[in-house]
Amino acid sequence: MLFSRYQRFRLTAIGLAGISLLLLFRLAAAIDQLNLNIGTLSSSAWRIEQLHFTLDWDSPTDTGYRLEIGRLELSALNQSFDNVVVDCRRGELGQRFISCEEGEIQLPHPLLDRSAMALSFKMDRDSGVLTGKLRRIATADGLVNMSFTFNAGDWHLRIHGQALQLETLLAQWPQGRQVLADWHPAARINLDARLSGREDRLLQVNWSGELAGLSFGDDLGVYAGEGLAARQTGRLSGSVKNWQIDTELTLTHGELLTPVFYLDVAAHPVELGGKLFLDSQFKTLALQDVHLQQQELLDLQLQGDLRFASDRPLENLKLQLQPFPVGDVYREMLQPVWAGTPWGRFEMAGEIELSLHLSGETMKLDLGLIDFSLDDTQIDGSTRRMGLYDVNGELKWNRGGEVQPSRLTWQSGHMLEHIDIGPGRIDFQAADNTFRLIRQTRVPVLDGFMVVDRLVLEALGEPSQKLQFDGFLEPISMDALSRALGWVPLSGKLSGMIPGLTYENGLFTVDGILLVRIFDGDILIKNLQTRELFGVYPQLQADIELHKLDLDSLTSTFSFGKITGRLDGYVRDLSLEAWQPVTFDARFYTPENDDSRRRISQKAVDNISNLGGAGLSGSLARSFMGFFETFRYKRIGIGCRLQRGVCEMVGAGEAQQGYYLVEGSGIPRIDIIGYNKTADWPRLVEQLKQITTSDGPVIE
Amino acid sequence: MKSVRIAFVASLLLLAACVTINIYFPAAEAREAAEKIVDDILGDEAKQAEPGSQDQSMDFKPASQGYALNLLNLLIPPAEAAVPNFDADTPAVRKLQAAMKQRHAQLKGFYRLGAIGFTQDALVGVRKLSAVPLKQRGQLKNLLSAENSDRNQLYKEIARANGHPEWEKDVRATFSKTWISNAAKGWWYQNSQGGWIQK
Repeated sequence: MLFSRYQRFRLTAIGLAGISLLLLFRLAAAIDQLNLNIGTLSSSAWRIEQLHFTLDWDSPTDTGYRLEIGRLELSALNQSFDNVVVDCRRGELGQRFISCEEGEIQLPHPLLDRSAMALSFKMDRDSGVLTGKLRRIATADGLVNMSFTFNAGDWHLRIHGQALQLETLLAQWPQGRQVLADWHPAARINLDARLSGREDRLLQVNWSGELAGLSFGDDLGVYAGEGLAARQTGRLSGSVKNWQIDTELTLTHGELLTPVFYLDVAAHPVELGGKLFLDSQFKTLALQDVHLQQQELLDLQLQGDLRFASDRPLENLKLQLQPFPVGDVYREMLQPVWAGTPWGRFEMAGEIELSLHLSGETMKLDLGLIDFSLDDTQIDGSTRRMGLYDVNGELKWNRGGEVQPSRLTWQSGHMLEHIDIGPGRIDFQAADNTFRLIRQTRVPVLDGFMVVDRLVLEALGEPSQKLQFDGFLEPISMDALSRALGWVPLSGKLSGMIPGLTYENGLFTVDGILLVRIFDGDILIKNLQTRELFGVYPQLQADIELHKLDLDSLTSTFSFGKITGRLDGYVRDLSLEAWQPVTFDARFYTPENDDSRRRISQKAVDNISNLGGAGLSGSLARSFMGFFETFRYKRIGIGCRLQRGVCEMVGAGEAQQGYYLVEGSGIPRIDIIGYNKTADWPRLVEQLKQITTSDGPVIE
Repeated sequence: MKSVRIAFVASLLLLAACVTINIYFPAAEAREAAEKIVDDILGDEAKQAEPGSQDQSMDFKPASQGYALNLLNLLIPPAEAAVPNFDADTPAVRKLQAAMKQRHAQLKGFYRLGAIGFTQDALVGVRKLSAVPLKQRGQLKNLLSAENSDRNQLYKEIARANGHPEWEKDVRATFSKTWISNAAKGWWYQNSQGGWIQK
């Protein structure tokens, strides 16, 4: 669109100068032969009013003459000029030649900064050849020189512009003023153009131009350019059917920002070129051998057909991107545009090659990954979410065509900072907006495996996008997992069937049961749901059941003070926000009919007392109970129903004025009774932390 | 006779009071809630919060205090005491707050540059885009769009959480004052005429 405006403007300027000169020539000839009077002259293309012709005829080869026109109207160009003066100080009005070697033309026009410009021309009356020059045309705060030749219907025009100001040029017509208002452009232009044609047809244009200090920007700051410098050469040639444009553009300086990419042109100069074919009706544009090279970043070839004013403007397109350094391209071009969004926080390395083929309704995209690595960077203390390294393979996506298999392999990776992923491979299909695994895959996770039977992503990129996953965990040792998560080292195994995991509207839902075999017992995790798992504010809901955990190994792991026996329990309606519990209903207790050996150590007694407030028997007993290392107990239990940061506390059973946390048995008997019906949750957590990280007080 | 008349007038007054119930926006409580949220988001550069505020955490109290608590319960019915006047602590608010707090680390530099500032409608607006290098303008645009979306949601959610969606305007006005009062020295904000003022 810009091109056509530019072209139209140039044609207008050229036409103006050309036709006024042609008039001058015909007029001069007419006066010589027709005895021209002051009055009105007109044709279908022009009209002249109030014509004065003054002749100082010294000799046929040295004549001064002056032509004054009150009003000149050029209806073909929809232009009119008042007070046009052609003043030739030295010329010839002879039998063969009409010429002006030294003259001036005054052409008042809004496009011109100064109405006067230098004129010289020569017309051979026998051959009809007219040549001439218009120099020092002051326009757009710069200067333009023009030279022209007319020869029996053929014409040539050369325009040389120096230091023209883009904004002044644009301000000359309404569309230009709109561009100025919307984009605030500014630039300095040097231009050299050669135009040739026959009669009223433009046949060829060769041009070279330089644009310096180009800046622009829309009000929203979405598109902007600063300090851009460009060189362009081109050739436009026309036939009856179409126009061919061969052009090369080089961007050498400045910066460019678009919603899709940012370009530091100075660091990575851009060369863009190719052949364009535009039909004479301006309905289709064919691109041929279009290439774009960005130093050290991109090398792209393109060809295709565009149909203007069509429902599907892109009829046919082939795009080939040579292997490019994806890390540099991401960092230099994409990250500046995506920064501040979840897509703006990756580190990438390796190479990607890309080819895109669009034909009618079908589209095919092939991506080749060469030692590609992806990792999300750490920003402001938030944890890394995932990384995958040394990815190789091919991703073949298409729409409306034959589905082809894709394959990717990787050497290593991680989830949530330290959960290591081993080498693996996935085979899948990608078509339309669906991604589907076509073969079971086993992904090494820590010392176990995540086996994926089904993985389907549907409606990708749409609000209704959905992920479905079936698989299971081959046991991962809790030792490895706890270390990876920075927890106290735990023993046991994590395994589980995940018959149905779905992700929809930001919500992960697990249908199956995750089983953690730990402390010689089982922990079952059911009804697991997570929202924004990798977001700023992850939320999780689950129900957890504990079956017959061995208290001996549990208490020794957390240095709580030794307790032996078994423990059952549940955490129902667990709700975590940002990994902090918000609500739950939890109880942990000695199983019914437990026949294990139930003993509790002094340290544990003291820690529990600190948690729940020591009962009368506990505090009285301390002095002489200190002689005993462990005590028998009938049952232990603690429960908390958390709401609004407050725990409603329960124990193993009701006691006088309170509840048993530990109900002793035998002699010596020790009971720990809790009195507080409520407890502040953050404080409780703090106390638990202190207990499990210190040796705790010693009963003496 | 006089006392009967007084009783009659008092009853009328009581009746009248029963008929006209106005629920006013609890400005002081809202200010306190806004202060807490804004302080958390702006972090160190915000005005320091008043120290020595009451420790709200509950303690393990000896049983003997029970009587005193029960006595207090007689004076203050538990249901009323338990319901706060102004609720700005819902999961949605906490989520928005966490997102805004994390984003603030990236916005801080732009506040200092004077490129952006706090607007009258409690959002963040562009004051001087040219102060930002072209390379960072995309980031600023993304941050502003996310921040303003979160802020709008925050005001709406707080009003909703208090059962008065129509309070959104008041919540916004309260936050507008709080953002500005907690802005660090050198940052910019809009006055009521929309002009930019440096703090």
